Amino acid sequence: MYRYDEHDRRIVVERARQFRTQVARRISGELTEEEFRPLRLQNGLYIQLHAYMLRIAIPYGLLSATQIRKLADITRKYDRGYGHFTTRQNLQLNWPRLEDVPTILDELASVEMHAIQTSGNCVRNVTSDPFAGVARDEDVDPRPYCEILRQYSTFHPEFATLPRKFKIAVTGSKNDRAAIAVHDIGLRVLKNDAGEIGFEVYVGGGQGRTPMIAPRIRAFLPERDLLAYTEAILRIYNQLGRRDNLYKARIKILVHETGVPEFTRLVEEEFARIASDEGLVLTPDEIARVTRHFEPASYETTPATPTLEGLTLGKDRTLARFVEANVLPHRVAGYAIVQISLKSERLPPGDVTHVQLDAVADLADRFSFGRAVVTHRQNLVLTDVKIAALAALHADLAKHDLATPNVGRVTDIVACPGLDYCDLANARSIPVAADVASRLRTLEQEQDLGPITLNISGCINACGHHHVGNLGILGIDKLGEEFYQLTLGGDHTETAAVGKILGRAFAADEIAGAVEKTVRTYLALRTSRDETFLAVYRRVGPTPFKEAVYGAHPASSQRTAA
Amino acid sequence: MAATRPAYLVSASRLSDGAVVYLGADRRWTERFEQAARHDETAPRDEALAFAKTEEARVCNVHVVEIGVTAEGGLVLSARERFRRAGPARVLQSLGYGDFDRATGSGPAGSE
Amino acid sequence: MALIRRRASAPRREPRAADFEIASDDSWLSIADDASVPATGDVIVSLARFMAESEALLAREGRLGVRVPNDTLPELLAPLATSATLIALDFPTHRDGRAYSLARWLRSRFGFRGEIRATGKVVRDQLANLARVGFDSFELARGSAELALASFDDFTVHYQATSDQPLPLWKRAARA
Repeated sequence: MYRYDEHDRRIVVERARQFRTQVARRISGELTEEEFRPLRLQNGLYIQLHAYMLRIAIPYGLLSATQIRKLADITRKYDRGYGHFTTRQNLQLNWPRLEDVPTILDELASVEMHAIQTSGNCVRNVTSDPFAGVARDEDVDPRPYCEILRQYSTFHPEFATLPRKFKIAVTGSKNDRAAIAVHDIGLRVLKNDAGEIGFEVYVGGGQGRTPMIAPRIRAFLPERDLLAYTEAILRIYNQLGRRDNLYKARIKILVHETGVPEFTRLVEEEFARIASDEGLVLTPDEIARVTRHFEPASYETTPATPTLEGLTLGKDRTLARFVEANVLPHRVAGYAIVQISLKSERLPPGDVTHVQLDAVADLADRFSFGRAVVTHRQNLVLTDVKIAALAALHADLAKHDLATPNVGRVTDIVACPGLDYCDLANARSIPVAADVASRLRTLEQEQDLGPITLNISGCINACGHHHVGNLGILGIDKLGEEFYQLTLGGDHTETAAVGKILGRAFAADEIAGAVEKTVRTYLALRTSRDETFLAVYRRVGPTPFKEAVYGAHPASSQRTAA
Repeated sequence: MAATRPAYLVSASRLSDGAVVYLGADRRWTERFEQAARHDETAPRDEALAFAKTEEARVCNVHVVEIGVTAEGGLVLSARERFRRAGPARVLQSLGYGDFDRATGSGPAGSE
Repeated sequence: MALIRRRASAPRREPRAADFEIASDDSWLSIADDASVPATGDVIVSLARFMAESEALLAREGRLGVRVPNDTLPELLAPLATSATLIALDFPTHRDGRAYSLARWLRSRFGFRGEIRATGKVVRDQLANLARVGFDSFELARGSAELALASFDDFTVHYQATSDQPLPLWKRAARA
């Protein structure tokens, strides 16, 4: 993984020092809250419903065991002993004290981490495929380009006050695991017929109150032009993006209102002006320098058995179920990709305790070259585990409630913190996730429901990515009561789609039942076990689901927020 | 929903830790909802808000909370205000962190 | 309000506190659109006035500065680059960053070599970024000018190439 040199290190150290003086200026009264607010936000420090919240950046989700231990230690020393992984592959602390935050930043800097640009109207943490570097279907490892973009966007002086936040995702596979279609810029790195590396460029996707799938504005951008093209997009957006209405300020609205051809023309025109700037052209040397940080691990030759297939058929049914749900083939023979579900019965989706973090760090050291990855579905991945070691790893994961065999299944629910924590939320997300999971857990164990994504957001800002869940749940406020809309048909992959609202919203005690009916309807409609929920929905449309959910109890559709 | 008339509280987040606080009748900040000064009229509300905004050394995120009061004197709060009032203890208890021991990680949410 | 500006002797490079000073003198007079332009002296007029009266303005004695709203189309900057000595870019709020890109365009696309001044809601924590995209002087809306001056030294390393630095960090420094 990328290791800081003296320059990178100095930047995070100076940042922590700068924030220490800013906090002191706020406490002394030199800074008003209005002046301090953007400064704390640029360091990922929010005011939430009950406390401050600090969002720590995890660039493209990649963590070393040392960094994970430090995160465990920080949650112990400065918070309540647990943290929350987000859909942007970051980690949030829910209860830090203002005066401790500079020290937390110092601690992060000591392990090459920071909270830079995890909030504010700037380029946010660059996200990527959690299987980058080990996926069988990968054309090019996206991580070096993520790191190049991280450095390019860190404290870029021109783009610190954009019209609105700006999110970039990069994938290196045709099968998109980075949700590039719903990002401000989505990049797919690939090789053309001549073997040259370049990018497909998508611009103007997003979620929130106006979900949009990004159009492709470039079929092949040579890798040397990555920064110039990104700068052209950012500059056009900075100049022309709307600033009159917070809800229309994202680049997706600019692309939509300008029209894709005209927007593309503006970007290409600016790009042509700056494409040969020495400050922007990426050289093969620089790409090679950064790529060296992501060289493959020193894999060993391993015995031919066991195999993943063998393990799924084995006598140990607990292990078999774990392997079937959570383990994927690796590009290197004898190794596997192990996904750790953070969707157990005991904790909110994406939450980890400091004990679990320490355990993951130790297991990463013992089984996976000392590294782990955070996914945008709020799970963790050990990317390089010997198949022969899976049984031992599974046993240790189970000791820490980290072996729930449900990744990609319906109980692997993505949820934002919702109204339990968040100042923007209209409704709680976490209890709904718990209700839905407890209703479906038995069904999931009895029947193979196949891959189903279920995403919950506590408000229209859509941090839980409900628009692109196969099933999406959106919390709304109806006359002071929490209600939930159900959407079906969303998809965050290479066949991205925005889900459609099924009908009237449900009260908090109704939504889990509606989800169960939806899933049972799918079971009844599927032609075989291989036909996924999404495939069935795309084949039959919403009507049978609507009838199942609303038709059976027409009286309940009269229910309002009494 | 019962008919209500509006009333107002002035609330904020404590500067040191972001905790929910309310402005009391004695113009001191309190964590207790019951001790918040309730204003039925907009003029005293605005006066309290103006005072609260001078309290930047102690608080941030100063704002007015509107609540409903029924004819019988009962209070009607939005979901958000109910949760703010209930505070962190409710969050921790309901999410499985109620008996969570931060030092050892043991308890319902812990691992062993 | 204090004016901070690049020292006349300072090289155009990544900002350092030593390169800037608190100005005790400022020859520029900002002229409202409904006020008459004095016959001599350095004046700053609005872009609209410049476009309407450019011949007269360029013929007078004294240097010419132009106030440019931050939503100005970049194409309109081209004639300014060759005729104005100072261009003032406005910040209606410190959260509105359009003027940063206008400054970049003035420097790199139009080759403007005169003074770019930041006016409006300019606060200390923006100054280094402003300098990096090409600003030379800053009308500080509030706060201590001395502390603001010190903020140029908050960061001693920058990754990007910008108006004051043609090369990104990886082309300047040997990196592992």
